[in-house]
Amino acid sequence: MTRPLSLEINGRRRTTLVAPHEFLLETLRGLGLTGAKEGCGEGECGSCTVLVDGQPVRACIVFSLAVAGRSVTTVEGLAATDTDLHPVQEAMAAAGAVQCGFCTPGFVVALAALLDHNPDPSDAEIRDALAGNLCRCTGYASIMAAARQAARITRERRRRETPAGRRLAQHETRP
Amino acid sequence: MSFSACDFVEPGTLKDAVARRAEGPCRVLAGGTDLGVEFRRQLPNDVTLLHVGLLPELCGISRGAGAITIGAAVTYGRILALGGASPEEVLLQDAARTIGSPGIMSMGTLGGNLATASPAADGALVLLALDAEIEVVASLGRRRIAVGEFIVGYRQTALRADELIERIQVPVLEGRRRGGAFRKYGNRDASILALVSAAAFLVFDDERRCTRARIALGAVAPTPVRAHAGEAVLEGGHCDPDALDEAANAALAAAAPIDDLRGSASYRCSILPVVVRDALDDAMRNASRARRAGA
Repeated sequence: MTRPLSLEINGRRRTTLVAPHEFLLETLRGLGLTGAKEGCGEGECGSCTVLVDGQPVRACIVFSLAVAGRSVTTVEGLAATDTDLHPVQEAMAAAGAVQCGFCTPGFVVALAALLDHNPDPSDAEIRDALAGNLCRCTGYASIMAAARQAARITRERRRRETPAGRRLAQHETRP
Repeated sequence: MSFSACDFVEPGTLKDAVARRAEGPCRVLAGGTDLGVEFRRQLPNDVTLLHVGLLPELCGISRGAGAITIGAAVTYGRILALGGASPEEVLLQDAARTIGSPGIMSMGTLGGNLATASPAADGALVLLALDAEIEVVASLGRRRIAVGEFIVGYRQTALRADELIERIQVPVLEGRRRGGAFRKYGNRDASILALVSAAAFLVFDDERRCTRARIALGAVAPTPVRAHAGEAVLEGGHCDPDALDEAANAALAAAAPIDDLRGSASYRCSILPVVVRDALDDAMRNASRARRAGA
């Protein structure tokens, strides 16, 4: 007994059929969005973190039908293009904050959610935002470094987006 | 091939939800941070999920005369976004802050914490220290139940099969010298169930005499419990360090912990007075802060 479910996923309206007790992680992966990973399957490890209306959730324990009609952002939806990465993605790659990579999409999405509302977080705020994401490889130091770097990139990009910043950027690119 | 006769129902109003509840067995879904885990471990056959997490009637927060009223489906994230206008609100926030990761706080609800009725429930614990009341609704009417009477046993509540938790009412007391504290002791800081937890709420008169003491203990009995013996030590006195020590030790009388994978009963008993003492210290400090802020 399946039901139609409509979601806005990464800015695109998608409609699919789901079972009444299906979880969002299965639905997303069934749609080919395999960035979010099933780690523990009980909402502890954070590998399946996606955003619902901009808030991080554990897709492995969210019933798909409970978020019907809402806006879902997965790791696939963060980069504007394959070369224009989200600041968190850019910083994670640059800092070597990825080893086996399984937990990485969850960290990226959780950090993106933090920087979206707080582009200048303290280390304590970064730790709080990542408190529910487990990584068995890195020891977290490189992830913390990446988070700080991502915050710097975010602030820099936002500065450039202000009218004064745009004028400055034009001035800088003049020969 | 077998099919499980599962269904997912999402009524648009509380009235419809209550009517569906009266029709027959179903599992009530709010944020799903407990129910989702349970279903992941073992998907039940033949269960209807009744989704109440987005019902407007259950999603409100209001500050009225002498009380904060919180809808059952209000998430921890929304509690954290409150202004912390009273010591009672601050104590609720202290529990909400440590309940889990951001991905849990955005979904988990106060009503769900009560319905799950875990002995380690952070939300239920502070509600116990705050003398909160639970308002439940059925098609025949409403009733109010004190938190201590709502949770009746290990993961068991007084909620009847035709009832839904509608809202939680937290009394906001008078007097400037009052403050609460929540202490959770676990194996790590984040996303952790308490090995032992304690919530305290202390009210003082202008002569700095304690007029009301509440101490609630988590994860040391089948339900969150009040430490009445500890409270009795403090009420009427000045809460000097000796009295705080005595109250923290007296709290042990309410504890009947078990061995489980998080820790042994004897370890729980040995750290409980420390956790309670820390909570009482914090509550004393917060009470003097509240007075200064109000002055």
